[in-house]
Amino acid sequence: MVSYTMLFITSVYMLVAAVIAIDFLERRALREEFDRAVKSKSFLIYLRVFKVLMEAAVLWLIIAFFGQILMGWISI
Amino acid sequence: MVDARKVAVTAVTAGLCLPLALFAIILVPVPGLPAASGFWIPAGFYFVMTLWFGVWGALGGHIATFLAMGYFQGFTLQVWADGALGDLIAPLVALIVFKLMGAHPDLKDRKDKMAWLIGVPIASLVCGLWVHTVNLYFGVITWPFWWVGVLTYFIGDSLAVFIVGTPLLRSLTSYVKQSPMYIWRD
Repeated sequence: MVSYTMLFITSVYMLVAAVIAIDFLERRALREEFDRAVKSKSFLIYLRVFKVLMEAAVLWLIIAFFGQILMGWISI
Repeated sequence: MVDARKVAVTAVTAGLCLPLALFAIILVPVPGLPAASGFWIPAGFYFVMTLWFGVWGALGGHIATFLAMGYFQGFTLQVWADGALGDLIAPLVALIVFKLMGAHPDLKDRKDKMAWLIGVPIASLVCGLWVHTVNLYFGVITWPFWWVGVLTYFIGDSLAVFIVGTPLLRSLTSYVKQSPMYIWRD
């Protein structure tokens, strides 16, 4: 039986992962528009790079969470 | 000269790496070795930031490791400072390898890929030697654990940097190139 805490955390993680996946698709679709916008607003480069790095960090934290359960470090 | 963008790079790197350093150690620990990790995920991020933005990225990794080690295990100041200095040195060693080979972090041509494949293990080894030799001379570990520590560091950091850092460099360097903070010019 999966605990309520585990179910809740997993649901949040899955939604976060879905948001990141949708953001990835949106970035691909708007690549040309983004390149045009960057010419007048260069700070958008930083926003995009930092956002993608943070998304990657979140994905790694999710992987690490389940990895640590598998390794027996933590339990729920 | 310090400006807002450099501070932002350091702050973002530290902010990214801090939770990863605190919570993202998947494999390990090695009994008898303080702060050893078989898969040091934050390294993937601060290596990448250093290759893009130079010492400001490395400084972020240094700050994150210092804070994370202090909180996580209740280590002595020596262990915090030692590990954190190691994480400052490692990405800078990789940066020097790239500079010496005339490579670029977009990993497009053969020279870039070779610099990445050579630079990361060298950086991890140098850093592992630094961290665990200091630990040894401070009496934190004993000789039988020294080589285990160096090997763990070498494998753990290299593996994480390759797995985490490679897709980041490949996918984001083309954007970062447009930034005036990018330290490489063709």
